[in-house]
Amino acid sequence: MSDINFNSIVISTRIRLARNFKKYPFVLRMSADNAKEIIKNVSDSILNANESFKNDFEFYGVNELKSKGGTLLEKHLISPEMLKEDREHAALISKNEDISIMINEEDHLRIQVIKSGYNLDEAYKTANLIDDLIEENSEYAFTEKYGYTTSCPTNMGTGMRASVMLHLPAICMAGKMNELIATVNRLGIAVRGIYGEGTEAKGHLFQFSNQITLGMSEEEILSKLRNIIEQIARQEVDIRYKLKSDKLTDKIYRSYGILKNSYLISYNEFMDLWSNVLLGCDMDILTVNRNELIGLISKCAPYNLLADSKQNLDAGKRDKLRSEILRQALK
Amino acid sequence: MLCQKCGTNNANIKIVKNINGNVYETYLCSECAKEDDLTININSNFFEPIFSNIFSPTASNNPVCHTCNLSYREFKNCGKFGCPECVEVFAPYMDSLLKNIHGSISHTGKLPKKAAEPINRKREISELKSKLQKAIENQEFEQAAIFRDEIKKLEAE
Repeated sequence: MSDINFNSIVISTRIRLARNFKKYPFVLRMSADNAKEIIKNVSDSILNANESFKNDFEFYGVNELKSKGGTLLEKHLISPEMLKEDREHAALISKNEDISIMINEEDHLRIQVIKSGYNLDEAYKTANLIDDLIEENSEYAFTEKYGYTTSCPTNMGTGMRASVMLHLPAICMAGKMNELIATVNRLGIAVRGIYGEGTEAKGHLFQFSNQITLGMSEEEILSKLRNIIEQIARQEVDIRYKLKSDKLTDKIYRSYGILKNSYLISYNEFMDLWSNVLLGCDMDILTVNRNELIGLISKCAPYNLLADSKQNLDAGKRDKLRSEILRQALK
Repeated sequence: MLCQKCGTNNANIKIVKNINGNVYETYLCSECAKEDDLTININSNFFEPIFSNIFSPTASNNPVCHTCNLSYREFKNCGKFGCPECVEVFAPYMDSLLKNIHGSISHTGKLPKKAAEPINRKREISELKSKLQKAIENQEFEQAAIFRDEIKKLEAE
């Protein structure tokens, strides 16, 4: 089969490493003092590592998370767990928002690297670098047999979760998504909606990630995931061209029409139409600025709308503002 | 995990609220969840279906971690370790648990720098030992002597 452009199917790539420090109890049992000390140690080791890191990373403590947590969540920079107010959390986030170090999430440390498009190797390389850097000043909980010890046994071993977000409108339209989920589950790959565990799939976006973290090396995990992702992407492209018809083109044109001409639009309706427009863009049916289109997912999400407008808006006003943003962006 | 409302009982109910696409998770004990006037059917064995498959059959005794005081039973309930030592204390159950989750019980990935040196040395020694064994079987005693010296050297480090 001829090679396809994976970047037309893969929206983003994410690597997450779970780590804990040997000298502290885990999050379940740690004291508030432990938590504060861990936050201080980690942020010191990143912010004092070198001048460029110092300037590049921004620190979000409990208060900053309280006010900006929702926005960060919608950008995938923190997990829903970080919005709980039951303990001292913190996050260090790089200015261009590709590296996020969550402190005292489920584990002491969650190093997360997000890259746009299909970029597993580069994302892993960066995560690995940050991992080594933090380890210089501290000792990780590790056993020779089971690898990195994590709060939850499902992350033991490498502590690595590699995840790739795919846009799969054609597989969904063909009614094949459930079948696909069942198949990849059997292969040790988990499928989730856009905001992670327990969230529904919106905009035909699905995250595929490895479930197994023990018994395979990082490289083996990545290569297995890569193999499965590429097969899914080929299927998606294949079905896209089978579905190509006047009816599909009409659906895409209509979606584009509504997306740039509405006055009130909910997030759910936006995501449905957005997915059709992106499909149209990737099938060369529409000419749209693709990067701008992808950026709209977070710009139009509820928390980001509030943050950008700097006022408290109810759902109706948010829908109105969302329409305004879309009319501006898709002019 | 402790109930997020009373902070004393173990949480056995997870409440997921989806408000305008924002997902909030709350963990409560059955008592607080009842007070919360939830219309959902409260089942005290909420987590059991999830964990019963991955945890080994009921532990005959209930080991308690000497460092963080977490008992194996509590660990089974919440699915989380309390500290690095828990893994050692629950060692008798770890293999079957991890085998169920990952299909494997030995780490082959990255080693932390600080742990890497002794582990790599150990891996090297065990490799040399098997070479030594082979050399003796083949009556290559000169070769065997070289391996023996190398092992001694590594073991002395």
